Amino acid sequence: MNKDRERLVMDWYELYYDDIYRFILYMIGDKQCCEDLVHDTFIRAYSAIDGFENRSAVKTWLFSIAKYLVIDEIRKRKRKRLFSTVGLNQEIPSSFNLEQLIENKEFVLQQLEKIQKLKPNYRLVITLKKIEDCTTKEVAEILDWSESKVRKTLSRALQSLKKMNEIGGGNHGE
Amino acid sequence: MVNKHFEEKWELLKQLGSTDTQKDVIRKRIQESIHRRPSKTSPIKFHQWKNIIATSLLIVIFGGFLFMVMDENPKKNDFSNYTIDYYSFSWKLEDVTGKKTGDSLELYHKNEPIPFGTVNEVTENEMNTIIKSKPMFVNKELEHFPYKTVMYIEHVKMQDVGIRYYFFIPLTKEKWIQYTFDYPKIEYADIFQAMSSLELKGKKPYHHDEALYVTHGYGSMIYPVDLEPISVTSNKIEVYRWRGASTKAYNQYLEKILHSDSKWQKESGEGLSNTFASVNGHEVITISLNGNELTYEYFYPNQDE
Repeated sequence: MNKDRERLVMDWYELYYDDIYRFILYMIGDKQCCEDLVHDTFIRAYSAIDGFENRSAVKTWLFSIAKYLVIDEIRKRKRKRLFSTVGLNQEIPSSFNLEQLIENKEFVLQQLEKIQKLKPNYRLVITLKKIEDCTTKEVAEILDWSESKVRKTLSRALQSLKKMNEIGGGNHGE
Repeated sequence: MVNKHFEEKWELLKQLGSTDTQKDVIRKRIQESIHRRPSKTSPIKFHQWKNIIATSLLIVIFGGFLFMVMDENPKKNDFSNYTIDYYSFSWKLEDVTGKKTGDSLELYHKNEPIPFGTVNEVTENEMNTIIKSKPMFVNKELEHFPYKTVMYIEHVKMQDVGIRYYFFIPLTKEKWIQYTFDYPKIEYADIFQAMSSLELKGKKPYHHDEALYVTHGYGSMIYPVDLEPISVTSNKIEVYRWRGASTKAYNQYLEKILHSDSKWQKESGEGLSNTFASVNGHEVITISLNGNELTYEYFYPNQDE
């Protein structure tokens, strides 16, 4: 029984690791903490697997778990200075496309840093919708919001990011 | 056209991800965590037995306490008479007791039943096995400490332990002494106070002739090593008693913050209260000296909702 649960969760890990990792990284902006929260997401999934009723897709369910963990982490960081910022330059993944590295690395890191400066709700909706390519319905399900709230918040979040890029002189694609 | 560029921008951001090595490490951690979890295969049987188990556990726990009370009290303070295979040690950390369990020495705060750390002698192989088998996230050699000291930080993520500090000090070519400290059972400042004032019997310590500062493992702010926590709460204010406090020491400390690396810049302040902002804009810290009390006030401008 436990073996089956483990096998199932590890299968999900192989399938959805990249999505969950990237989502948490954009939410937290700290590689070490990101790894911890990815671990915790799959451990929570393992523990709660009996309550997973297949009414939502596995990926959506995993995002919901990860969302609770990152929001909790963001709250903790407000109260506690543990795991304070680690230099973003150390967080560049080595799997980055090396040919694009020089031209785009700076831009991607800039955007990662700017996304960190958004309100958590804006971060959530931008990451899920624009980076993870979730549908509005999926985002609504993950965040437990109405679809209308997803659309409105996304629009405000994009405006906010755009403003930051204008102020900061972000000129890539704008 | 603008929209097309905008969409291309998102495509670029999707490239950010992890390496295969990171994925392998996390996979291993998840599997280890799953294997450490209690089995849930027979919930009904467990339900039937749980009263008996609970009663037995209570007997064991109370028996344990009784045994502890009857047993000799743990040794006090400086361990001057205590030996782990020929070595004893002392430090400036106060109100600490030690108790031998097997080959290990457990460290306790006075009157606390739960240990906050351990001391062990390990071989180089054992040390390497420990380092490789734990999810270590920081590896750093501490400069100007009394002995060559290598620090590792493990993310433990247990209910009462967030992170575990490991310090390894070579005794001989093959033997190392290992200290571990569990945060938050012991505060960062106490950990570094202990290790920076350590004296091993029979092994002459190095005394650095300038003030010593450390980051607390994470983050880039440096702290004097001789701080004793007075009030470290979760409301972003930390107050310490600074053994080496003086106006001169305070000013030297501020200079060190600005010049030891380029991660902090002065934002405002004068005299004995000054504010520094991290260059990345994520953290602002006001550091004030009042008598021998050093106060840190933390702000996180970009993390508020």
